[in-house]
Amino acid sequence: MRNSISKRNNVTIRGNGEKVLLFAHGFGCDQNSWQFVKDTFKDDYKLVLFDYVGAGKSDLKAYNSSRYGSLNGYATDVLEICEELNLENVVFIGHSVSSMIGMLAAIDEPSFFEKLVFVGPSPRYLNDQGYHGGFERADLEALFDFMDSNYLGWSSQLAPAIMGNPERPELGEFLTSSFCSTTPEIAREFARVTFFSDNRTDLPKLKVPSLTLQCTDDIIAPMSIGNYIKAHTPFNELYLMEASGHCPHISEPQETIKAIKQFLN
Amino acid sequence: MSLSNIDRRVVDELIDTEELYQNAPCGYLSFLPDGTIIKINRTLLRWLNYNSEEVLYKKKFTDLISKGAALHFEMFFRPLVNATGVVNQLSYDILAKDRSSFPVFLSAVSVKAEDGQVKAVNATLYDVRERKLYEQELLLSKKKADAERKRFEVLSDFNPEIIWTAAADGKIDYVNRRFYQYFNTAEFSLNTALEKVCTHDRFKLFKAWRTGLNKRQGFAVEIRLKNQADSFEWHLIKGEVYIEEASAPARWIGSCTNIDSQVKSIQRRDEFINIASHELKTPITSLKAYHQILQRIALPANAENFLSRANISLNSLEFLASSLLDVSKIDANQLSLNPTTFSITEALQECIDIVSAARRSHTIISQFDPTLSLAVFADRQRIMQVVINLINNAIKYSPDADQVEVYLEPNASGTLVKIEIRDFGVGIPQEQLDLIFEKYYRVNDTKNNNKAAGLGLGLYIIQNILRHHQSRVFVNSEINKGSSFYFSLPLSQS
Repeated sequence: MRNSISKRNNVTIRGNGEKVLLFAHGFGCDQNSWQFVKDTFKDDYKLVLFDYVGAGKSDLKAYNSSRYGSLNGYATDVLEICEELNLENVVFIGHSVSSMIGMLAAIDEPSFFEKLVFVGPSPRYLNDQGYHGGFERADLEALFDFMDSNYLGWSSQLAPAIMGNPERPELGEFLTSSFCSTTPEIAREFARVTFFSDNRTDLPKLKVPSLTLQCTDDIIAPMSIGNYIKAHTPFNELYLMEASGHCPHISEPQETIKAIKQFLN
Repeated sequence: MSLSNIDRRVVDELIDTEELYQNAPCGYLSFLPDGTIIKINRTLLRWLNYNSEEVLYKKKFTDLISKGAALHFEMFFRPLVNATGVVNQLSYDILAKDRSSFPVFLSAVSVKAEDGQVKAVNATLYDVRERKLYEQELLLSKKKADAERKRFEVLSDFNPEIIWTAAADGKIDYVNRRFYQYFNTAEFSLNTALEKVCTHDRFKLFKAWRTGLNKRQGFAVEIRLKNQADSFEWHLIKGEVYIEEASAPARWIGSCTNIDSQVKSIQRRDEFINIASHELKTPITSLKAYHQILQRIALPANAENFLSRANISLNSLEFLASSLLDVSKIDANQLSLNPTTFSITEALQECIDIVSAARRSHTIISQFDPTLSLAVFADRQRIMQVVINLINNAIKYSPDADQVEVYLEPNASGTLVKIEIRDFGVGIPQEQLDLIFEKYYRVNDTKNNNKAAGLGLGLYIIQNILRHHQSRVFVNSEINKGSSFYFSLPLSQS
């Protein structure tokens, strides 16, 4: 059963180095989202990439709503991967929600990790008293509706019925499947877990050094959140990027690589 | 005429690309990687109710969509268009100036610089208001259909019988939960089910099913199925054709009911009748013998009367017992014939004489020439049994009439002779005509408070005797006018 976790999470290992870079994709994506960044590191590092259960080519049968009903379930995935592969001194690079997943894992088992890189992190997306997360509940409900209409509207509910192909669920997969594939039902649950999570009280518990890559004009993780994390997390650095949006590793890979390298050395 | 013959400019003038762009039937929009709108066509401006100054370099694409959708834009759209250069048919709700919204399908391609960086994104927006309405209708219908299906499944699962449905070609496409319990299986397999059918009944089942399929006609067949204790139990398989939609081919719905206890109890009943009728025969025979001896002994005058009454009772007892015996033989397929060549005219006359002697209420009129020479090859005694029975029935069901007619008529080619018994009685209701030949069926006698008379075996026996002669009895009847029963026998070549 040695490979069971690797198989479950579709782990791929590349690169020639000793030191491990563990790449964790964000919500709605899979390990392909690192394709513009990872290759630069392959001569000096061992690159470990994976898909969370429910995403990409992971084992969908391993998904269960109660385990993955909180970010801790996903953090356990990360720890199990480290354990199975005997990883040590890992530099964990997580995008979006994976930042918090990596943080939870590092709080649990600090010995596995040397450094954490957060790309567009947010400990809480919902606004709260004295806290600006960026979203009201209604905004998020609108996102879920929007996702439903793209995941579960015409394409997934009707297309299989009309094409007479209920055995081919891929017809109902999200329209971006050529790039990132996620099973609609699981994506829906992951969206709720992600956007309704609140990890503000965990930030002070992190003992591993971390870097936040903060984009300009990121409506998902605005500047105020980068500052909040810096203020509440020990050993956290904040790097302001020129890149705009929420996915600098895709839109501005060079700048992203530069920032990560700087932190690694 | 070829292209070179036409002035090139005329062709160029035909197509005004700017005009096409501005007034296309879809919206066009170009924006920078950060979403800032740099170009927009008139069609889209009209849909949004903006003028171009209000939009260009002032609004971002995310300003035209809800915040939830903007989240999606940042998380999916932008990375996707960056990575693959293309986005296909995303479903967005676009916000117009007055904050009302309408649904569009958005497709986009990125314009990249030489270093691979995205310079701008060109998006095409299709107004899908109407399509959304259709989709909604379709979704509604689908929900309705799902609910109907669910209802059917719940209903059929609730049923203690096995329920199945099949397509027009006979392929079974649904079985209820009972099937899985019954055959102790998690998956539907026709073979698993067929293996449980008793080998003697497989052909019968197959034939009934094929015939039903070919004729598109309902069927019912009784077969034995192996139960979980590995013993056979009788089951009734029924199938009915039903039309789901006028244009669609007919479908099948059917059931499989355990009728083992009914079949077994019928078998026990028949067995009992068989034994009882045999056992009754011996004492009746000896009673008749003693009766005959008594008749020869000089008895007091008033005893004669009792003796004659005893004789009538004895005869009807004998008739009942022999009827039961006949039925037993029919059920056991042991009704055998002793065919001989005899004059049907004489036999008929003999029947009339026998009944006339016993029943004074009706005159039995022979509507045929008694000198006709018509020979048939049949079991004389059995044919007489048939005729006497029919005449007795005719009398019994016409209490207000005083005559019964008997006809004998050869057909034109001289190959068949038709024997007919006609009464002028109450008649038989149309809906009961098919039932009167069934075993133990009795026509309700409304005048006698529905009190049924007799065993209800007469016509059943008659039909079976004639079936053994490759013939059958037919009936015509009119309420309050009377009934006519008739059958034919082949004439012997003489």
